[in-house]
Order: sequence, then C-alpha cells, then structure tokens
Amino acid sequence: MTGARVKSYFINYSLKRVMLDEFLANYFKDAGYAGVQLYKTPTGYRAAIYAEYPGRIIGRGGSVIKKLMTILQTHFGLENVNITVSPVQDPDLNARIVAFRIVRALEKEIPYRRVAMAMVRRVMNAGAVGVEIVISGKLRSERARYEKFKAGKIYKAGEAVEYIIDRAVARALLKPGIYGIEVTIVKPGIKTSDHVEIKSIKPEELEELKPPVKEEIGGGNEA
Amino acid sequence: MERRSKPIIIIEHLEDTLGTWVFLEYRHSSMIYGKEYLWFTNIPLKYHRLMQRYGRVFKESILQLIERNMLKTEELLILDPRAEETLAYSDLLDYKYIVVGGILGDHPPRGRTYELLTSRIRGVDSRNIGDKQYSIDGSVYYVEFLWKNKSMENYEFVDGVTLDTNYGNIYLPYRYPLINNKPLIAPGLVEYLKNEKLPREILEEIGLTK
Repeated sequence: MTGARVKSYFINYSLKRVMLDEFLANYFKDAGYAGVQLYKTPTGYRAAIYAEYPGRIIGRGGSVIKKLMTILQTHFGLENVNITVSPVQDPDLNARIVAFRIVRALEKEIPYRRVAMAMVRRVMNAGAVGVEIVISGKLRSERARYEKFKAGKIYKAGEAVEYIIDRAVARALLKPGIYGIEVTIVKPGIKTSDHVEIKSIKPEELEELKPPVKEEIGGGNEA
Repeated sequence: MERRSKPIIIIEHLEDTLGTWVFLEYRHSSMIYGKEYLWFTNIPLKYHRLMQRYGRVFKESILQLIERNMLKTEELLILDPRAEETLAYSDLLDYKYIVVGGILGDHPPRGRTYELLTSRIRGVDSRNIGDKQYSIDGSVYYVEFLWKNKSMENYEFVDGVTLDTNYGNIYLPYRYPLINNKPLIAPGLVEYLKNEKLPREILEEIGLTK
C-alpha cells in the first residue's frame, strides 16, 4: 500500500504542474504556448517550456523570462527554478498551437468559418491523419451553436485515443461573448490496431507465396 | 366560462438588433400561430414595415404598454424557464396574453428571460415549458399544441439537432418539437446556417429581390 504522504506528494506535484500550465497558457497565448514539462532536479526545479515563438517568452534581453522566474518562485513555490524555452518541432500538428492560432484570428475579427477551414487544410497538409475543430458560442452574434469542421480519420474511443490524439481547448473573448475552441489532431506515424497496409509484391514473389498444389493420389474417375 | 379565442402571444424583442436568425423564428411563429394572434413588442422602428407582415408590431416594450394601461399585469403570463410551475391548458383560458422572450439564447442559458422580463414586471405570473431551452418558434408551437390538444399528451420533442454540412456539422443545443419524427425548425434556417444565405422565396416575400 502506498502511504498517504507519498500520494499527497504526487498529487501536489501534479496540481502544481497543471496550475503552471494553465497560467502559462493564459499568459503566453500570443507566443503560441504549447506546453510545459516540470522536472525536479537535486538543486531545485527545471521547467521546459515549448512555444511556437520562443522569443516572445524570453523577451528582449531575457526580460520576460526573468519576470517569469520570479512569478514561479513566489506564486508557485518552485524554488531555484531553471527555465528553458524551446520551439515546437511541428507546430501545425500541435493542437494547442492550432487552437491559439484560431483564437488570435477570431480576435482579429476574421470570419470563423474561413479560419477553421484554413486551419483544417493546414493541419492536414502537415501530414495529420485527421483533424476536428469545434467552435462554439454566439457565432455571428446570434443564437449559440456548435460548428464542427473535420477532415481525415478521427478516433473518438478506445485505447488508441490515449496516445494518438492531441486535444486542446481554448477560449476567445469577443463582443458577443465567449467562444470555445476545441482542436483534436490525430498524429501521423503511429500504427493503430485498425491499421491496414497493402504491400506491393512482385509477380515472382507472388508465385512463391502460392500454396503448393498437392498431387492427387489415385481416386479420380477416368472417362 | 371557457374563452373561445386563443390567447394572444406577445413576443418581446430583447436582442440589440433584429438579425436573420431571429427574423426567421418570428416569421415561423407567425406561420404557426397566425398573425392575428401574434404581437411583437420592443421592435425598432426601422423593422416595423417588415414585421407587420407577421403580426401586430409595437415600438414600446411590454413594460411601457403596462404603464400606458394598454396591458394589465394580471392578464399576462410569461413563459420563463426559471418559473416553478409548468404551463397548463387552464392557464391559456385564464390569461389573455402569453409573453415569450425574443431572445437568441446562450448555451448554457443565462436566464435572461427572468433578468430582462419577469423580474422587471412586478406581480406577473410565469410558467415554464420544460427544463430545457426552446427556440422562439418552438415555444410558440408548444402553446399552439396545448391549445389544440388541451394537454401535452403525444407531444414529442428532441434535445439538440445536428445538421450535416460539407465540412462537418452544426449542432443546435436546443429543444425542438418533433412532427412526424422530424424536428420543427424555422423554414429557411437550415439553408441560412449552412450557406449563410436566405432561400429565394423568403427574399421575395420580404421584397429583397430585384
């Protein structure tokens, strides 16, 4: 049995990570914030932040990152924290970055359908297996509704969802009210249980694969 | 004694503008209930000519009509989702006017009917028509159904309607009455939501075609 103190240690650690993630997502929306990984080191903590535009998190001469370091120490109790900011390898396949891009576009009053369709095309061109974007709220300042844009193959249930899906939710505050944006991206290059691959086989290989014909022994009626 | 004519439905327009969606729902309400029994209040002057095709139009709000003694509070019954009692057939006989909020709702609902209507008219009665949010024309249909059938037996509804489009789908998170297993949606609304255009016959009806 795991002791209560051990459990509370891990719960507190996870809570701290979630709170930090929410704070950074809120604060660095314009920097295309993608996620954070928090490590415990012998001397303190290390926070690895991933973003579309790392320069905006670092700031001129590291001014923003210095402020961030103070906030992490005072508000989140992360003593002796070391922050590293890295760019995301494929931003078009990161659900959070795509969701924040949609938020930024909606805040610039670009029509939501045009934004969503463009993002669907962009994600699919980046090689995703499937993408689904749901925008909800008082679209075109009328009755609230949900609009779903999708392309490719999307996994909704099953064990595969845990490792193949990247999902993110973002909010855009506009004049008619809050818009909710949910992005689901099915990552490429991961084989699932329903994956079917058709191999190209040369004719000579096909002959080898054929089962050997058994010679009939006796029996047959001869006319 | 039973009153012969059905109660008048007053739709109090509570949105800032009169958009296409709300117009289609008002038009459908008129088709369901009849323009003789439908009043629209709090309508901006520039829409009066358009809305007069579908019912009696007032620039004043219900509150102003009460102040002018055109309406009496005891004759009014507001359809409000926050009300404790559910609308019954006897209410349609007891009250002369049924008030519906002309609101394009939020999801989840913010209770704007109570905030903008029920709480502002002192001593007015209110009834709910279920625990979910209806469209404006859907609530008018509910009253019409109750008036015709005297009870809500055999009344069917569906919570949420999904419209398929070329790029995905549109989900409307409201309660819609079912007629022959089909949700009752305002004519032209599906086309408007899918293509952001009104059907030609509606444009011709309101004189927007050359």
